[in-house]
Amino acid sequence: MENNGIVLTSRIRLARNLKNYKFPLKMDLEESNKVVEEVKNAVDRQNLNYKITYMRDLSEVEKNVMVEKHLISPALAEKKETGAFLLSGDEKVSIMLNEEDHIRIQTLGTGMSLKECWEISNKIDDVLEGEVDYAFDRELGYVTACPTNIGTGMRASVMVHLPALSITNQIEKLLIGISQLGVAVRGVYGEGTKSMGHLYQISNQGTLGASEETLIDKISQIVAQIVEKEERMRAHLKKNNLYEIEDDCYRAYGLLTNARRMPTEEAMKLLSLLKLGKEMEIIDKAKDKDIYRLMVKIQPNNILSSTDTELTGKERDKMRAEIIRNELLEN
Amino acid sequence: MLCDECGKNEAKVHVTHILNGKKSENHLCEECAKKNQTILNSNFSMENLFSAMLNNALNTTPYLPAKGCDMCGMTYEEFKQTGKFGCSHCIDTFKPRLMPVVKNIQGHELHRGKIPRRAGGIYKVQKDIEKLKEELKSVIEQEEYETAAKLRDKIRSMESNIKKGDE
Ligand SMILES: [Zn+2]
Ligand SMILES: [Zn+2]
Repeated sequence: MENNGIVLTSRIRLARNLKNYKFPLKMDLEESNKVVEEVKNAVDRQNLNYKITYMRDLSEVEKNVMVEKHLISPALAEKKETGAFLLSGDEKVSIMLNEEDHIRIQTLGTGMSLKECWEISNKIDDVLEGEVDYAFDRELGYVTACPTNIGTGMRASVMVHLPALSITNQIEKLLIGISQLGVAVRGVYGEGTKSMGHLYQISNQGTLGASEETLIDKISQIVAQIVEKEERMRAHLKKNNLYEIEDDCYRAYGLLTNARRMPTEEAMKLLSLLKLGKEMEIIDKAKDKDIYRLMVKIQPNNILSSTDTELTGKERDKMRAEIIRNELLEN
Repeated sequence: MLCDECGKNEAKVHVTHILNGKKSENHLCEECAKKNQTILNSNFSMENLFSAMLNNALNTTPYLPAKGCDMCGMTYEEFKQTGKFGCSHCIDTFKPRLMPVVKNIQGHELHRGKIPRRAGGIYKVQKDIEKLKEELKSVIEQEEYETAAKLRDKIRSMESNIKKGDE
C-alpha cells in the first residue's frame, strides 16, 4: 500500500511467558529479577545489539518520554521495581519485561508495515525461544496472563488518520460496521467516535484460532478498505466542496500560527485539518512539516516532560500555542 | 461533563472503544487520565468484557469448591476477580471452567498459529508434517512425481522419528 499519510504507524506485539516462573501478577522481586536476567543473558549470548534499561533507574519524566515515544507501554512504566526493557539499536524493537506478561516483544513501523514488523518480531521470538523455556499449551497456544491474548499472543495494530470521513460524519457508521468483522477500533482522545485529531487505532480482536499471517492479512484488508473510503471522500470534497474545505484548512493554519492559547482538543482538530489540506494539495503552507509528530509532541504529558517546572492548565495551553507557532513558522 | 473516575473535575479526556458493534465511552479529567494511562492504552474493554463473561459463566454453572493452582496458589475466586492467570499451571487448573468462556470471547478454542520449536516439541513436528502432506498433494496434482517421492520419504522419516520419541 502506498503511504499517503492516512496510515501513520504499524505495530506488532507478541506476548510470551516463561514456563518456570510465576507470572508478574504473582511473582516476588527476586523472581522478577531472575526473569530479567534470563532474557537479558539470552539476548547477550546471541550478540544482538540490544540495550537494557531498568524502570527503577528512570525518573518519572524519563519514563513519560519513553511512553510518548511509544518505546514502552504505560503499564510497564508503572512497574517501578520489577520492570525492564531491552531496546534494539534502531529503536524499532522493544522487549518489555515483567509488564503484564514476562515478555512482550513490540515492533514498530511506519505506514502499513505489519508484515515487516511480524517478520522482525518472529525472528527475535525464535531467538529467545531457543534460549528460554516458553509456556505453551497444545490447545491454547502461547499462555498469556490474560485470556484475551491467548493463542498467538499477537496484537497487530495500525493507526490511521481519517479527517475527511470524520468531518462529513461518515465515521461512526463505518467504524461500527468494521468492528463487527472481529476488529477492535479505538478512537484515542476523542468524544464519542469523533476522536481528537481524527486518529484511530485498528487492531485484531481475537488472538486464538487463526495463524499470525491470517490475522495480519485480515487487518491489512480492512485498513485498505478504510483508506480507500477516506480517499474517495477526499476526492468528493475536492470536487464538490473545494471552497469550504479550503477555507477550513486556511483558517486552521491561521489559528495555529497566531493563537496565544491552545487547548489540546482544539490544537488536535486544527492540526488534523492542516494535515488534510496538505495531503489534498489545497494548502501550500507548512510544507515539509511532520504534522503527526507535532500532534504527539503537544500531548499534555509530553508538554509536562519538556519542562522541569510545574505547569497549570493555563500555562500548558500557552506553552502548547508557542510550540506549535515555532514548529510551523521556523524554516 | 464530570470525570467518570473522581466525579469532581471536568472530564477533558474522552476515550471510545467499539467492540462487536457496541460502543463504550470513558470520560476522565486530566489528572485521572494521567493516573489511568493503562486504561487509555490497553485493550481494557476486552478485559472488562472477559471478566463479565467469566462471572456469567460461573453464575450459571453450579459452584464447585475449586482447589487453587499448585504452582502459584491462585484460587478460582481470585482468577474470576482479576481475570488473569498467575502462572503457566493455572491454565490446566482452570481449563474445564475456562474453555466455554474462551470460546465465547475468542470465537475459537484451538490454537492454529505459530508453534515454538522447543516448547512445541512433537506438535511442531506434527504441524510440519501436515504442511508437507499438503505440499505433497499439490505436487502430485501437478504430476511432479520425482519431487513427490522425495517428499513422501521425508514425511515417512519424520513420522518414524515421532514414534521413536514416543517409546
Ligand atoms: Zn478525575
Ligand atoms: Zn498458577
